[in-house]
Amino acid sequence: MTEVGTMIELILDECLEDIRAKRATVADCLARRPNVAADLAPLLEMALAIAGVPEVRPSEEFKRATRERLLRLSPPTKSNGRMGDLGPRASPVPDTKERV
Amino acid sequence: MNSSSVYFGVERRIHNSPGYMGRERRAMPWNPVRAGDEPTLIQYAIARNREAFARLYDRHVDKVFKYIYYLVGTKREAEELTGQVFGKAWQTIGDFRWAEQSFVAWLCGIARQAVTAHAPQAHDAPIGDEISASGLTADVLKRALARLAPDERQVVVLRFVEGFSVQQTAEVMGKSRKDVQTYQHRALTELGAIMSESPRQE
Repeated sequence: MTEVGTMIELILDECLEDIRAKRATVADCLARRPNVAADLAPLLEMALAIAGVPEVRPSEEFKRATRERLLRLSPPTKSNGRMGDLGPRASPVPDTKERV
Repeated sequence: MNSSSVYFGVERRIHNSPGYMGRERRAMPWNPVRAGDEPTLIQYAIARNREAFARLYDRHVDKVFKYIYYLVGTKREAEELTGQVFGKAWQTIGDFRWAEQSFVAWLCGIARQAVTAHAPQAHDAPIGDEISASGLTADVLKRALARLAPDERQVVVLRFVEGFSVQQTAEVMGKSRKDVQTYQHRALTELGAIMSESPRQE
């Protein structure tokens, strides 16, 4: 990768972050960097077009069936005996399902 | 922070909650899983509480599905793999570490391994003229992505479909931030070329 290529990668990323955080628009980014604006413009437009693609979702039937299956799964067989980052398990966690 | 105290904090919150009336009466209007924030749900899921895990599933299933959808052939295949990812997540949730990544990034990491053998079939037919006046559709995007290298495809989906940061994307992919920036630049350039293979219909 050439130095110019690396520079564009960094500028592109900086612009994408600014646009995502609503700190700038595409026009702002291009105006700030006139020397690379011609290269940058189609990349930013493509990124925005992808982000604007309508959401795809799984079917409700699949979601319901999978949820039911998860609730029937047996406890994990693989366990290292810890509570995530919370240290060793100190006592059984109450089964909240029974208390509802 | 003392790790045990966090865990015991969950217990303390149960006992200090206004509706708690002691074990004998078993009345518990405040349910930590039902009302739980993500860290609480994860704690309970790690402790093998299925309801807590199902709540995490409710929160993240759409995101995991979306990620897989763009990386495999069909919606049906994506659903099947999504189910497998959550099954695997339940089995290995004890391995999850907060310090390393967010829960959804961890799930996407499992999904990434699951989709490796299910790369979408790339078609060489031009797709630029399929972009309608209303813009890019999921189907067209998916077919364009199929023509990218696997790492570039992953970066596009994680960054622009899922909205992950460069850091999160790097964590899911096991790459450096610099690698992600390079793939991102290359992928957007290539997608631009793919999309303009034939004139757009305005």
